[in-house]
Amino acid sequence: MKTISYLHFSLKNITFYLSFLLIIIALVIPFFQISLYLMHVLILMFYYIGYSSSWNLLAYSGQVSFGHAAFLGIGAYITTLFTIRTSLPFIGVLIGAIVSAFIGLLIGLTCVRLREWFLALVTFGFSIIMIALTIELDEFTGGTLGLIVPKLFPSINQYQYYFYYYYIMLTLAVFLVLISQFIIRSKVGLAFAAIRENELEAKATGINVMKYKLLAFTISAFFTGLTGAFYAHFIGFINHQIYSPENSFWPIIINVIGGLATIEGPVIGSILRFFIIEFLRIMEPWVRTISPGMITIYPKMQILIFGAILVVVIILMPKGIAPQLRKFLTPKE
Amino acid sequence: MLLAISPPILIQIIVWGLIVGCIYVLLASGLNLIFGVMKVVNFAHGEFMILGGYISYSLSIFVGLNPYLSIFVSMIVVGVLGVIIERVCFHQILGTSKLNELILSLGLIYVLQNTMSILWTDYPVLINSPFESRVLDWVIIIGITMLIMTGFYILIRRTKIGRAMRATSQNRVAAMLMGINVEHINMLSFGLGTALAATAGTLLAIITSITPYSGEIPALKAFTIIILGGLGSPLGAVIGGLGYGLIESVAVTVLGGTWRDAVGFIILILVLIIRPMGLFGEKEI
Repeated sequence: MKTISYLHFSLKNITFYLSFLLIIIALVIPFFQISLYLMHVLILMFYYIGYSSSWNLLAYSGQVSFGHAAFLGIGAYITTLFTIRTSLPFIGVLIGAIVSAFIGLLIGLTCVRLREWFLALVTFGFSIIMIALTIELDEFTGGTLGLIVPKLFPSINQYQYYFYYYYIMLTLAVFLVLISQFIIRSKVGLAFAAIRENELEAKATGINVMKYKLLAFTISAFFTGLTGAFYAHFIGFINHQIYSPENSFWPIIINVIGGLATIEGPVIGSILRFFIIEFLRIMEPWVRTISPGMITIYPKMQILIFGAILVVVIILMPKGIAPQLRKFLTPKE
Repeated sequence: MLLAISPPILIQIIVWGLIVGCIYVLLASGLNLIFGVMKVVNFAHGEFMILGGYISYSLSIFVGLNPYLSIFVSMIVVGVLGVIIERVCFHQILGTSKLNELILSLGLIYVLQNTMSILWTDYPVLINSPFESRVLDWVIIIGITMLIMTGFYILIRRTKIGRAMRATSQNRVAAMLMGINVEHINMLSFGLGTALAATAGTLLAIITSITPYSGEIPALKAFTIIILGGLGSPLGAVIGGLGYGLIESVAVTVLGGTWRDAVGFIILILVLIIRPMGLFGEKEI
């Protein structure tokens, strides 16, 4: 038996080579003189990887947040306000993440006793309250008109900015995936998993449930704030829309499609999201040749098709793609 | 702050709160029924509501039907659609992770919203009431809500089907063992729930204009209401819905329209801090 298992590639090896290959591909893409648009979309893909990985850290402890846009927006707003006043964007990004972590701790304190839908709705409520607060404090936050976010670093033109930003976002995404891996494999991650599987049993084995739940909230909010801050400097503009429900639901969609409570889930989900949306966009000229009348409703058709894909994927693969992929990659006995 | 408001305005606030409350009652009762029986949260409930509103709108424009009568037509259409969606979508994922319901609902929200947007465009739509005075409209809206809720109550409390629904929501396996066809009950409650949403949508389109996207937030508010009123409790949905409408109406007058959506969640958070299992929920270990 031993000889057989070592002749095969082990699952760990395959995932290692695959992720290595993915990173190499990601590193060389900008050198192929790709369009500004593609650059933009790829940067957003890395942003979604980072954002959903941060969300995943909280979900890993069994707490599902429906309002992560709150942390995203706090990170974005704090760095913007700080950078406008001091023009030190990198410190601003860090402060944004720290403030977000602090708010995460406070929200966590109200949430530790809640479960399932109660928790989901309370976190969602916080993101809705943030919208109202942002509009209310308009002399400070710009209200619905929003704020122009200063650039993270000076650049000659847009392309150069995107070129460097691509690597910043890539680093952030890889960093967040690695750090999730590190946290999940550590003793803390083990405690998170224990709480997720059975809170009462976890308590009985001597895990301080409250402490670890709060820790999960704080860590997740910190990284979400960090991602949000980098996102704001990239997009260059923020308003209350950053707290919109849609922004809160994206990491859930990505994680559930990719595979909940797995490390590769956010990556698979984000890449898939990118391909589906881009595929629908590429189909546009084709639709135009087939029936010119369709073109006015095509943007709506795109979202409609996306929704239908979501429904079909969930019905066919209720556990997400990652477990299926693992099964496929594991060598059969 | 409320004392500074003159009596006529206060009456206006209360009346408006009651009318909005009626819509929340219908919406929350439907959602509550679906949750009670299937233990599934249908976040696309708001879209069924708006669809009901649009169907009534089309009937009143193209057929010239009185909008209050067209409620019953849109109830049937949306109810049948609800049954189909239950069969094709929700039935398939029963018993898997709770998040799957959310993602499925999100997918349905995208599909329904954009289908409506293609069929009826994005322009806000208002059903013109056949009556001259607004007051008469308001009275009719409250009357229709009472009528439908009474019918709903009789169905749940006094008929065999209603008893089967209550049995299923109490204990699924036991109900199955007693010879109740649980799958049929699922279909029926989903259809009934969405039909109630269609009523809410028609009434909403009569008092204010709707767009394909205006169902998202009300559905979440309805969910807040059933959590506050105790998950699965029919009376909780009614009291919660009316209370929510009133509170929202007061909050909009006192704090301004910005807080319309936030105030309900603030109350929810405050309540859940004190009672983590909801107002009427049972304490768990």
